[in-house]
Formats: sequence, C-alpha cells, structure tokens
Amino acid sequence: MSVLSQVCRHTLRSRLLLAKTFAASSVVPRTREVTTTTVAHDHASHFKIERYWAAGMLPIFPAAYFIHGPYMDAALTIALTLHIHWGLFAVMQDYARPILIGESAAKAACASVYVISILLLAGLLHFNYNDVGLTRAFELVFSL
Amino acid sequence: MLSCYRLCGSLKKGSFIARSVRTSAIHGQAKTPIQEWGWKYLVRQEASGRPLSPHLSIYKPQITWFVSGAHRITGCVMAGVLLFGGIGFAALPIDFTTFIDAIQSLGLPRFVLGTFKLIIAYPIVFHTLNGIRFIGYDLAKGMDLPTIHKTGWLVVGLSLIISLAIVLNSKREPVPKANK
Repeated sequence: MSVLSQVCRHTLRSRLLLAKTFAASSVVPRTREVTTTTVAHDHASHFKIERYWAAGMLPIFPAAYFIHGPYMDAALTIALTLHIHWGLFAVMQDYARPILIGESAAKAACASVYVISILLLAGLLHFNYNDVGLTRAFELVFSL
Repeated sequence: MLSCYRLCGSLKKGSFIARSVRTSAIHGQAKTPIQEWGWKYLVRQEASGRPLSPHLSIYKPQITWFVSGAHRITGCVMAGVLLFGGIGFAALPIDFTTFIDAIQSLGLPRFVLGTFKLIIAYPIVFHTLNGIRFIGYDLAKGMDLPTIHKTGWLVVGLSLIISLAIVLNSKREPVPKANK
C-alpha cells in the first residue's frame, strides 16, 4: 500500500514538474519585441557582437605584420576604433560609477567615450590619408 | 534611395541593429527592481559611515588578476597612444616622418632603441594573445583554476617570445646621409 502511494506521489510530482516546465517555456516569449525604454536586457546581443568583433579582429594583427598598405591601414582603423570604443565604454562604466562621482558626472563620462571614439577615428583617418598610415608608421619605428 | 530609407528604418530605436550596437543603458534611466535594490544598498552603506574594505593593498599578487589588469591597462594605454598620436599628428605642424628623423638624429644606442621597440610590441602581442584566452572564458573553456594559471603564464611567456622575435627581426635602416 505504502509503495503504491509512494509511486503515485512520485508520478504526481513528476507530472507537476513537467507541467511547470511546459508552463515556463510557454511564458517566455520568443519575440524580439522591446517593451521597456532601457536596453539593459539587450546586453546579451551587444555582448555577443563585441566578442565576435574581437574574435574577428584576431587574424588582422598577424596579417598586418606581413601585409602593409592603405587597405590594411583602413581595416586596422575600423577594427580598432570600434573595439576601443566598446572597451573604453566598459572601463568608464566600471570606474565612473554614480555612487562614486554622482549621476550627472557618470552620464557625462559615458557620453565622453563617444567623443573620444570620434576623435580617435578622426585622428586615425587623418593619419592614414594625410600622413604615412599605421602600417608604414610601424615600419618606420621598427627600422630605427 | 529606397535602400537608404530601409537602412534608416533598420536603425530605428527599437530595431535589432540599434539595440545591438547601442551600448548599455544610460545611467539614471528606469532602473530594474534589482538595480534599484542594489542602488539603495550602496546608499545605505555609504550613509553608515563605515570605511571601505582594503582591496588592492591587501590582495596577494596572482597571475589571475595581474593578467586581467594588464589586459585592461595595455588596452587603455594603446588606445591612448593611438588617440594622442592620431590627434597630435593631425593638429601639430610636425608629421610622422619628421618625428622619426628627429629620433634617428638622436643617435640612440641599439639597446635603447630595441627596448623601446619591445615596449611597443609587447602590449600589442600580449593583449592579442590574452584576448584569445578571455574569449575562451566567454565560451566557458579553460575555466578551472590550474588551466587559468597555466594559460596565464603561457600568454605572458609567449608574448615575450613573440615580441622579442619581432624586435630582433626588425631591420635597422642605415642613418640617411644629410644632403639637405
């Protein structure tokens, strides 16, 4: 009798668990609809893009050691500027925190990363077009 | 023209591209419940008047956080060099070739120049190799402590070897005869 009741309880419990998991999976929407004003819960896709970009950048550096020229300069500029932008944003978020420096200063710091990235892009583009360019610059430095 | 409209449409606020490219939430806007709780916790702690626990001053030097710190520091320093170099050579009347000639005219010994080349090459190689290691962590690979230590030392050592190879392989161009 007790064994039977235990078996009944076990099957009931497993049925409840099954019902719970089915219910949970039906509650989680599979849409990409954004319902709030923040992008905090889209950090997952941003994180992935950051890492894919960094991984994609990897072959550029050994290639840049052997292949020089304006196209390599352009590839480096684009890859580096975006990577540096995201990196600096993470650094700024980590250290320029509201509890430390106040809400408005934290906001200003995060906005300043955009300014820095734009300046970086402008500087690198100018260097590539109106000066020797990144790869040639490394050539010159390493032939000193 | 149509493709331009389509592109603008895809860059709308709620679109996938906008949400992916835009970095995280601006501070001070619509905190989630846990963020609200966390903020109140911090305010409460600050109000208590207790001092901050020591951190950098007491933590035993370990390859884990040394490499992590070095990854961030090399990244920031290299970014700074590119930023100030790029803006500097754009804003200042000097151009890169003149700059190189000026350094060459200093007649520094090979050892000094080699050291500078190593200082330039090492952060690049280190950041790249450790980047691979960190992306491995994002894929949950090599996360056990012995592997972390092994790969940490591997990155440090391999970067040194590769940078030394780059520096030793760099040909020294003869000082051009002054014919100005």
